[in-house]
Amino acid sequence: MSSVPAFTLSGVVKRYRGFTLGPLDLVLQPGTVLGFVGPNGSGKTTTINCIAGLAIPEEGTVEVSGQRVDHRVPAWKADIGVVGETHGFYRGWTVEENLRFLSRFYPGWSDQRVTRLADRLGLPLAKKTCVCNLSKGQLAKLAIVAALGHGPRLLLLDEPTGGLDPVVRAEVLDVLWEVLEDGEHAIFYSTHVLSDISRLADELVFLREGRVLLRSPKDHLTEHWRRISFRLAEEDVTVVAAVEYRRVRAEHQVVSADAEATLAQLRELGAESVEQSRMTIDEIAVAILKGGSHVAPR
Amino acid sequence: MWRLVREGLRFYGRTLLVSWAFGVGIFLLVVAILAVVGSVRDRAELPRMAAQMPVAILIASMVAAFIVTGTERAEARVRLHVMLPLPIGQVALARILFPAIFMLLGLGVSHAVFGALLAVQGPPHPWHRHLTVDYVALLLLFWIEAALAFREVIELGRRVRWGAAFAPRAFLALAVAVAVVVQVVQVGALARVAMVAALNAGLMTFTHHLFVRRAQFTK
Repeated sequence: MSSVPAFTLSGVVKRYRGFTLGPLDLVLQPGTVLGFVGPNGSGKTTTINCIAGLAIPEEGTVEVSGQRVDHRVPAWKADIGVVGETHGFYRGWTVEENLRFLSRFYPGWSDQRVTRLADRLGLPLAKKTCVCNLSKGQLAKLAIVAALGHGPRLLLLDEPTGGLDPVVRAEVLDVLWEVLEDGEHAIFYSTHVLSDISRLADELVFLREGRVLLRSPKDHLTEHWRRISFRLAEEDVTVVAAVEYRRVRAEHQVVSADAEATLAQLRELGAESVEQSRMTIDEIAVAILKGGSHVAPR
Repeated sequence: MWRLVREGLRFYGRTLLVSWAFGVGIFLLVVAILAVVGSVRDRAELPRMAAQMPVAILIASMVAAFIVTGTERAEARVRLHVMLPLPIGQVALARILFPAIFMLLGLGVSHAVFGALLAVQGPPHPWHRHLTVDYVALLLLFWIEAALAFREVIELGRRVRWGAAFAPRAFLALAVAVAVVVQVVQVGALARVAMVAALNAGLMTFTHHLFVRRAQFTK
């Protein structure tokens, strides 16, 4: 397995009127899936565009497979596949014609791979189906087949299952899961649908207002984050690792980013009726994104 | 770069042919209507009017080029093309050359039709020289390229302050002004063609320059 990072963002800043992304420092190693989570307008698509070279950052550098993202020297483009909300396919052409068009530009293009992926996803390659007649689900499948046709090391997915029904979504996720089998591919997955990420992602990055709030392995989050309630007479209590805190009379409720540390502190304080419950990735994401910039320091 | 242009021609070739068919069809329809319902004077003018068919073909080529550039924009093609493993300069060149190739194809057909008309009707002729056909083609191409340049200037205006985009805006305005002046100034036909050709070359270089320096390639 190659040790060269799939991509490296170093001090990347991209400015629009009324919005600034970054400074952003991110590295993605081969064979891993990084889930990118954030509300609308947090900068997820802009980040993907910066990695794909579709947006040029004002500051910082972007590298893909160890090569600087520079449109004058385009070798790095053969190492990435992008699936976004817009795709740019020729709507008047058939699925096959669009794929043939792409095959003429990528040296690593494999018709065999494309046929296998299309069969796996149930995309009608043989039929003379015009892209303009494809359903949203089929278009998403075509985008994935097109992005993987040249065997890229890095797959950038921007809401790839947005608006798809659960069956198509499951098919797409199955294919992505299979893509990861060889350990060479890396996936950068931006989505609102956290159930997708909870299945695929190794690590999660939470983004809000253009800044990274937290980067953490998914397993760490599900293991250590807990919702804890307890009774304590004291009114002012600073709970260790608390991301969210609420108090109703003597009943205190916290969302803890480190349940063990919080419970140890509560034992010391003599808290009573201590109860803890596991949190889903959805609940953790909401707590982090609502918690904002004070998530990491606590 | 040529691969991109060739693929584009493969996709839009039918658009050009349909546009020519419409252009020539409408032109012939007008001639036919005048032949049937026109006055004696109108009928006398018909040979002169028919001699303007090359212009109909050139206008049809321009319409096709505008349809193509509009479709490319509507279908967010820049995103697809910029992601291809091609140097950005080649993508930029393909974008500006594509309408030029449409006009070039139209020019070829126009010259052929013009030659045929000259052979059939013989001089005197309102279209004295092939050079006039070249001039009209270049002038129409200018307006297509001006539209592409205008989009790049708009794109630039989105990311820089008004002052920073002033020079490109001024250049575009100047190019349009010169194009208007060239049409009215008293110069020889060859000089006029050379001026419009130079204007097109300048505008295409300008658009290329702005495209490769873009900071955003999404729609």
